[in-house]
Amino acid sequence: MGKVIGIAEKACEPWAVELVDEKFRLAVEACPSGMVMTDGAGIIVLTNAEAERLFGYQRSELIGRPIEILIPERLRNKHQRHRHTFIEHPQTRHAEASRNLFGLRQDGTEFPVEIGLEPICSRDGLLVLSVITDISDRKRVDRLKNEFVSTVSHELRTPLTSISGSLGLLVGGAAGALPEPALRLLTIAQNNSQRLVRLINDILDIEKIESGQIVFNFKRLDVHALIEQVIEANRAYADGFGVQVRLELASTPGDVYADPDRLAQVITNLLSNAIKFSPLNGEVIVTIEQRANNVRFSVRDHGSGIPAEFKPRVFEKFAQADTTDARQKGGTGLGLSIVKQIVTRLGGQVGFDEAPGGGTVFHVELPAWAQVARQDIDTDQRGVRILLCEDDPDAASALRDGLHPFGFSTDFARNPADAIARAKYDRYAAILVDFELPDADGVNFLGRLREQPEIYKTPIVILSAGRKIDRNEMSKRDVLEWIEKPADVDQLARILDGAIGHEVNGRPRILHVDDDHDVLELVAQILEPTAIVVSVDSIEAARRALTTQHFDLAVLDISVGPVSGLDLLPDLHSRKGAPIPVIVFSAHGAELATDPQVEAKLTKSRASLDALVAAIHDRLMLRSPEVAEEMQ
Amino acid sequence: MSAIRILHVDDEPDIREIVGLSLSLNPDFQLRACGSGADAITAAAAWSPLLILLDVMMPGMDGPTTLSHLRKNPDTSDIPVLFMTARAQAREVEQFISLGAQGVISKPFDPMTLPFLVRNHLQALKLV
Repeated sequence: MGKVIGIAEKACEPWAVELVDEKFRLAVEACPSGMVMTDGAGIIVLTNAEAERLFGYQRSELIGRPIEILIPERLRNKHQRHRHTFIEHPQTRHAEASRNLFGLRQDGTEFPVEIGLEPICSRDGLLVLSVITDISDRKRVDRLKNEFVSTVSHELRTPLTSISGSLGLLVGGAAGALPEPALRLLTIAQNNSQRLVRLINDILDIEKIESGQIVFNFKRLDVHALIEQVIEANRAYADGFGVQVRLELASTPGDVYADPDRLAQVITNLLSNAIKFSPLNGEVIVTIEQRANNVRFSVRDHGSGIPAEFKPRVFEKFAQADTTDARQKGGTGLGLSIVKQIVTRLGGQVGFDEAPGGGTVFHVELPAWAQVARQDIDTDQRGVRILLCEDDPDAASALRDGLHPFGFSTDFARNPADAIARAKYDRYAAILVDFELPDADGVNFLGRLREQPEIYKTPIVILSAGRKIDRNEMSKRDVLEWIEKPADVDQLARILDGAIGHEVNGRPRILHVDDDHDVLELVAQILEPTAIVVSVDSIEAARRALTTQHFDLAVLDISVGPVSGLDLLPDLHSRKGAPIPVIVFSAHGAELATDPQVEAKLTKSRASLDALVAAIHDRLMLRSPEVAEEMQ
Repeated sequence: MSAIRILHVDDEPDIREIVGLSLSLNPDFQLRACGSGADAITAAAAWSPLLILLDVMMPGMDGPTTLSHLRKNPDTSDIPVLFMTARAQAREVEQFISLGAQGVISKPFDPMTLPFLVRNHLQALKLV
């Protein structure tokens, strides 16, 4: 719990209380950081001069107002949730620059801030003190630094390509045989030019990760196979140091949820470190282990261990226990810093321990796929299944809960790659896209979604907190609607209902056209638990049904009385003009249906009703329990 | 066997010379080098190489712009292009491929293995 302001009470004389009060007041006023104190309901009860200056308000305009007026509108909802969580679990929170927070000035402009929070128990109940620092200058310097680093790196690499290329040709004998001492000197030069290349690559990597330029492509991943590959790729390197690398499975590991390239980089860095710091003929042991909700892998060396004084700085940039070490081992001092940055972005943790019997063991824990999938798949699958791409788990859960009563089951995807993978694997009735996913450009993501043949016509609704995309762009990408965040679930459910045309109980609607009444009845009976089947025996009746109802699918007989069921094709589209998928189910002539709208062709004599039902289910993403199990 | 014509495009004369020396290790390769995207477009149309090695960052016309010009001209639209660039991220490689390149060779390259790498690309493209 927070601190108790009780100093004034401890002073027994009234004059002493006044003096202490005065000192506190002056201290708060003189504080170079903005201070805003709120009550349990988020109402501002105190501010200082710096807060007035930062936000451009007079004190009288702030006291008694909700803290949210100092926060950009797009972040208010998220802030409110965080505030409630903080009130429920009040504990000191130090300022973190990485949280990407913004303040809103009175004139409507925004500025990046760093905020520390302190819960305070007072006689009036819980108060929250926010200490706010404007970090605009720091951000600008960071940006300049990043631009500088990337320009310098490119400029360095060009001459290095020439240097290492020339040396490579000389050492390789392309210019003829060289005397032994010359070859030795050139080899030294070549090794060092390669080291310089590694250093520049590492600096660029760090800079890209820190500035968020590296896009992480998360996917389900067999960590065991990946580690085997990395060990194999580093075999020659280990041989060069006379070191053996051995893989041990402590338990059969499940899959993880990570970016394969980045994870391979983590394993490579840990492995090459362990190899470098092993004694000659030493052994490096890699262990993989399945834990409750994560997968842990460890890399153990038999080196001399990490000196105690160096331990706190192991993951810092350019940190090396002994600078002479770096020269001997050819390291850049950035490897572990990169490991730490990547593992953090992967949602995992990295640490190290002294290994029993000498040496060091580094371990990485990553979220297990099963755990991620459990959270992401809606356990209540009775509704119409939709996919929500949203990185904020709180916001995603809130929307899932909100949409349940409207008959929707919502699965989550945390990033574009995940969304595309899920949408390809599973048919969704609609996709909701958060337009401000951290690792994605929204427009680009929409384009990639639409490129997938499985989802090129699935209705997409955009949820956006800030940016509006223009109507032109929307129609180009076939975006159904754009909704401001936080989404109003009533409005969202209405839009989804309109697009999908589903009943409250979530059953899709199928138009079945056939002049054989036995077939009509059988199909209706079989599909009854999962769909609403409208059975008609003539083209006219079908056209009438189409004017009053929305259908998700049509099953057509080729010969309906004297006419062809295919005559109906031009009428089979939604109110927005999207074609309704068609399955032809006919005694003969099914092969004549060549229109792309016809997604399956079944000949009655050959295909059983089971095949028809399977084809219908396939197109309507009616999910079977087996599929649900596989996903787990 | 007739010579395999390869056009190399890079604004850095030193790198052009190194690539020239490196690819001369394979006697089947016949190399021509250009120092700019504009020269490359003319040379590609006139000389019809089997493959183009194209630098990405060049002053004036950069690699991707050069590629788009090559793709627009029916005489050069089908010539495979490999970009040569500093270690590219997977996403950048994807981007280059989507622009119409057939692959990426990262810089700095090992000049002793570059001829094999190029040959491997040619085989993958079923050009040799």
